[in-house]
Amino acid sequence: MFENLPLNSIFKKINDTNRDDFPTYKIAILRNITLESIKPYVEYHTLKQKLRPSFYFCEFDNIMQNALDSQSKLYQLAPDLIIIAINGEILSNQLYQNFISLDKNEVNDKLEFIKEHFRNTISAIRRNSNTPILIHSLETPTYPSLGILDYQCINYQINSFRKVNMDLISILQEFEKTYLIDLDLIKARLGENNFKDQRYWHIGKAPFSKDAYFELAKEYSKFISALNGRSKKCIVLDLDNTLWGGIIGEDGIENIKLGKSYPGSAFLEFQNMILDLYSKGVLLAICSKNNYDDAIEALSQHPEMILRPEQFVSIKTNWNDKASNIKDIASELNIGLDSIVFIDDNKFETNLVANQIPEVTAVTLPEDPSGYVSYVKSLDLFNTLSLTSEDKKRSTMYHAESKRKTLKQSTTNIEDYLKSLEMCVTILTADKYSTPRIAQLTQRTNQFNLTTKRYTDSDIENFMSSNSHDVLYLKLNDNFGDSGIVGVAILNHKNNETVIDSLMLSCRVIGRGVEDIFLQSCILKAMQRNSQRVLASYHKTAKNSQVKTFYSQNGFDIISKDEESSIFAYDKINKQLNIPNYFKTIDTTGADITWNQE
Amino acid sequence: MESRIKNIMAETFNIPKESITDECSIDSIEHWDSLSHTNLIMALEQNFGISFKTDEIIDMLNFKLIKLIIEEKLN
Repeated sequence: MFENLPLNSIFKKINDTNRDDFPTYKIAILRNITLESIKPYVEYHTLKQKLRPSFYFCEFDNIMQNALDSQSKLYQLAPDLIIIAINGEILSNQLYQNFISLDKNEVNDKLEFIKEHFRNTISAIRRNSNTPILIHSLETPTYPSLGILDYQCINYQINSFRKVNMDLISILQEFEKTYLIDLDLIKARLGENNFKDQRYWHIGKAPFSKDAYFELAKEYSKFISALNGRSKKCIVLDLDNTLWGGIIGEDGIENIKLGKSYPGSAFLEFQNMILDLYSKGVLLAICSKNNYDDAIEALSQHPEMILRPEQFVSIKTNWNDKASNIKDIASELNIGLDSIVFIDDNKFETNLVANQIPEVTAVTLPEDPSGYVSYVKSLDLFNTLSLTSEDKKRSTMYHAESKRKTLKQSTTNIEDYLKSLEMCVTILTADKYSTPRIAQLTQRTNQFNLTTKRYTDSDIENFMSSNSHDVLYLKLNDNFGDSGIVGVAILNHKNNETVIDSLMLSCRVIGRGVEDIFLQSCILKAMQRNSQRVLASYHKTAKNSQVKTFYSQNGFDIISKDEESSIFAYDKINKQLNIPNYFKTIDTTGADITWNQE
Repeated sequence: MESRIKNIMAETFNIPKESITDECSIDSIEHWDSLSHTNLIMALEQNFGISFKTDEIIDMLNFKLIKLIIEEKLN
């Protein structure tokens, strides 16, 4: 299932888009095939991410030379992404064309050679660069040399290739940030005849068809989006004819379609898919024009219902326009509008939302419910490059956040309310278990983020092993649940000064004084490191204006300022900041900080 | 038909339609090289719903031949 947009229309779309403000994204491609034709497709697929890709193609079949030479153009360019497109047929055409004529030892030698070539290439790159790498798998022959007999034996052609691809996955795991592009998966989506174009293969060693370029570029763009931390966080769902067939307010709970037989089976399948996204950490919300009681009755009482009310972090069932409801949901959950996907069967609603809030990805379901699942899956909106246990817990954490908001509305004295939460703050020094989540926070945190520096796992590890740096993280636990790791601070101590390189908190926890505690901890750490002064800065981004005055509100003096950033200093280092007294416990022993609470 | 081909060529090479003259060829248009030629062939195939033979792709290096080969295919 893919859009079949003619190439000239793709060009037109790209040229008609004003990309002057889009940051450049440098892609270096090491290849032994002609792959230049993929450029417009990559440009097209990264439009939505507001990126402007630029390309460097190494000379044809010059992969190792580029990888080994630390002075090569590949490294001088400092690319954001390296793609390795090695075609197996060029590497060893006998394995593809004369497999049966080779004896077993020859086959083994050639396969080992290919694997070593992959390993050597990646390891040469990793000696010179830490840039994420995407590497094409070997294409498995669709019509293997021995026909039906071929796939009966593990040593014949097709399974030999499958085995190399499996081994390749293990090889990639020896390296950081190195990911496989599964060409067979792309071929399976398109079919052999739509995937290859033998004409260009013979004219110019270009193996792919236009459809293959389209899908392959889309696959690259999913990695680019995940690497940039742009994955979607929340799905907002309609109810009638989306989660079930029929209209609950008119048909009643007995008559809506949901169950084992069609059409109910299609809705059941759709709910199962949503449940999987929920388990992966995606937040679920409802935005539907219904009476609240009808909706809740269906969700909680219907015997076949998969998704239950408690799995939704926010439920908006009212007659207001959906755009306003979605804005409310975003602010309730403290997430950006661009991290929301809205799904509805009604084109009017999705158009309205797309029109009012273009940042939201609005998805109109196909007319036939049997196509819901494959359609939404084909959009592939929720890609991440790792699954952390925090991800799986995130949904329950946000749920607690929603409850907190409701409680807040009903109490008048905010301090009493905060006290009643019995919040326990723990501040710790980073260790290898927390590194992935810390890197993820630097990637994902946009609003309460003073410098918005994005770091990878290995960057964080470098800070941790450096004597002049401290990486601190903050956990929060309260009556509603465990929020997990929600804050990161990176400190750089030099010449009796401490620079706060990064300071960020997940938006779920701000406005509760946690930020003040975290800052005080940074100052205490600086003191302990014999610093006379703490330097901090604010770098303006499109999303972090709320923290513009954070340092000045906490007694820092502004020492320089321009359009983009401000620099602050704090030299009253022995003085305690105003720390709220409504926390149950503040534990900083894990960060080796002594805390004197007044 | 002529105009349709010229439109596709102009969009593919990202140049004004006026630069696509009846006399133009891969030698006279700067943005037309062996790589953008591949793009042009793909765009023409998609728009006209036709498919060229390998030999034709190699031959279609000027506007007149492109027009001729497409006309043959459509008739």
